[in-house]
Amino acid sequence: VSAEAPQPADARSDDLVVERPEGLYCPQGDFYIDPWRPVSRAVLTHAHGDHASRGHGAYLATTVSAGVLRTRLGDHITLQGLDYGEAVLVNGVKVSLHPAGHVLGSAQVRIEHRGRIWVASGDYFVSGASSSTDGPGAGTPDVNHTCAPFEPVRCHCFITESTFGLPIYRWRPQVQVMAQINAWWAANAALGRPSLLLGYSFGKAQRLLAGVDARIGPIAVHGAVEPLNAAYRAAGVRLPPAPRVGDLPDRSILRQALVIAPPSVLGSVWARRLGDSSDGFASGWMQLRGARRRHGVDRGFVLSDHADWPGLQSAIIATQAERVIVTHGYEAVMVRWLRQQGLEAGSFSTRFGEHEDDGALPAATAAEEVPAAARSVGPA
Amino acid sequence: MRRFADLYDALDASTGTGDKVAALVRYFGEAPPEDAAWAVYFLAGGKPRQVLPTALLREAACRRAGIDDWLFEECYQAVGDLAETIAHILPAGQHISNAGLAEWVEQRVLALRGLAPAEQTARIVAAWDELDAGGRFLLLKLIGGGFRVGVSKLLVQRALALHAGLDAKLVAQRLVGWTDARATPSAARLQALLAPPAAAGVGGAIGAGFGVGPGGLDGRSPASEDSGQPYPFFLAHALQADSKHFARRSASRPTGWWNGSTTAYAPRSSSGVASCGYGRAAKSWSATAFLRWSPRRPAGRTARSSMVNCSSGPMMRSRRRRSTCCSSESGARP
Repeated sequence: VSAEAPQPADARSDDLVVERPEGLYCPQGDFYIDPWRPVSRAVLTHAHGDHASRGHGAYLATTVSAGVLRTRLGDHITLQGLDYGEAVLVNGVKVSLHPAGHVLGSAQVRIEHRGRIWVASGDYFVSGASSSTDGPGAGTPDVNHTCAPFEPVRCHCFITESTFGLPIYRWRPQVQVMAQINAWWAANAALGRPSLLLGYSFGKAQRLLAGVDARIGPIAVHGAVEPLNAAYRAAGVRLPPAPRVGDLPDRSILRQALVIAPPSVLGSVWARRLGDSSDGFASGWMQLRGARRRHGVDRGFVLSDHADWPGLQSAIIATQAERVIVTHGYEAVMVRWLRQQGLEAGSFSTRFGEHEDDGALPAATAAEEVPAAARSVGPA
Repeated sequence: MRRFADLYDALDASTGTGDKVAALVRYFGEAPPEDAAWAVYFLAGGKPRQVLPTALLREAACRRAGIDDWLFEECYQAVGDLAETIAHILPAGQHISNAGLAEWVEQRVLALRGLAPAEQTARIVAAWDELDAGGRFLLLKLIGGGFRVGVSKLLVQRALALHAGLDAKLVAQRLVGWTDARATPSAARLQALLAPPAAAGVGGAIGAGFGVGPGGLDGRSPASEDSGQPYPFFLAHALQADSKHFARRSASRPTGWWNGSTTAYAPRSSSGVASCGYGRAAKSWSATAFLRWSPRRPAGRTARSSMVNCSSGPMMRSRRRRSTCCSSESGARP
């Protein structure tokens, strides 16, 4: 992406987090943060596929994310849940988890050892946009309403993501994006055309559900989204009723419906079964026309669960860290920029950001959904 | 500008021609005529000469966004489009303007031409602050002459015809020359474009847009709406008929037609110098607009044909395209 080569962080003997082939490692506490290879002790920031992998000996994650983690990694895992802000000692290193605003149960990992504090952010949502352009909310920052909002944690070194680490990524207030989606859905409903809205099944789908105007018409979801909706509802997040498409008593209501599904259904038999639908994709990548074209969808809605450029900058400043280590995204750009701002900056190369939502299709629901779809277009 | 930006979004978002035409018709129905006139100009492919150098735009954007050139370059590499890059890196506009497209183009964009660079920078930065990202993108595309959206001239003609209840072929004919660089779209020109077929003086109004005098293109006063307007043809293949079956329709002496290949037939004026059209206005016609011929002229006024190789002329070199033209539909002509 960038012409610049990544600039690795200068490792020091007393660093609290270092790079290892298995993942980001804390030598003092002998544990890993979001490792991609099997290790004995893993601290997980959140349950997306690129951060939560299988096969670790013991897991430490937020209590809120436990349900989703067990659904995705299996009931048998050894998982210790921590409330936000609750601290635990791991080999003399104090570990606590703090809200990151990315998805349900997402956390930043705060590590304290001998008076030095490091924070690994995982993925986080901070937007440079205000929650509304006018009215009482004007001036307050936009937040993800389906999970605990990002809380800056003071630290000496901040490990930040950089998924949207370019100044071209500036989110609009999400009320505006939701208004666009509502207008699109209402127009489709008036034409008797299903509205197929694509978004990652964990996080984005629920944010869409919580944000759209459910009075426009019925809402249905793909089989991969439903278990995650259940997890959000169990955690106390209010979502409008959204049965699975397969459970609808009368498929004709699909013509006025909003159908929320993971992006992988685009072009599939399942999607064709909906009929002549208009498709939209909700993602931060939809900011660029080129990306919208490449995805081949009718509409792109710029809605991300990651921080935009102003959000990244304000999050970094809020930690008051003097050292910043940049991971997954535009590392080289962010490092050069942060150095210009007078910070000590480097990068870690990680496997985060690859196949963000691979875990989107739990085996059971996928198996259940696809043959049903295949049958309907069979020779019968 | 907001309305035009919404139209752009609707056109950009849709892949169906039916949806696009519907969006265009809706726009023409809602927009003030002076804005719609400019919209027709841009949608039909009109490009005003670039009023601001790219380097100035880039520098002004970097300064406004508070970023260095290297970071701008990184963004540009990710986006792949200068106007879109600038539109996104700028902070959100402070006072969104309600000005229409015509006001933006005439008073903000075209007025920049010839100003001192410092003044140009100040004005463009002020303009950015009055637009959201979508509006800025469009403004920059209009400034840079790179405006395009998935709409063909044909679709614009169809939408205009639907909007005004006219024959699409008539609209197509009237649209010839609409995007001429010297013609300024205006409410009056749009009115002429959309006037009922029989309205008198329409040809004069259109001709005036070309910078042609009140006398009309060939010295006669414009008696009907198509006086002087070439007829855009859409034939699948070249007409095989002999040119002697075609008579010229005006006092000048056109004697041939385009055949779309490298060798072109062009009218020979009375002075013997090859030209491609009627009078001064003709110089601005693109090769997709063609000479108009009336078949079955009264005996004794048959045109003489002579072949002129226009491909070597400076005008032809820049304007030559593969196209085919032949006779128009109109038969008897006084």
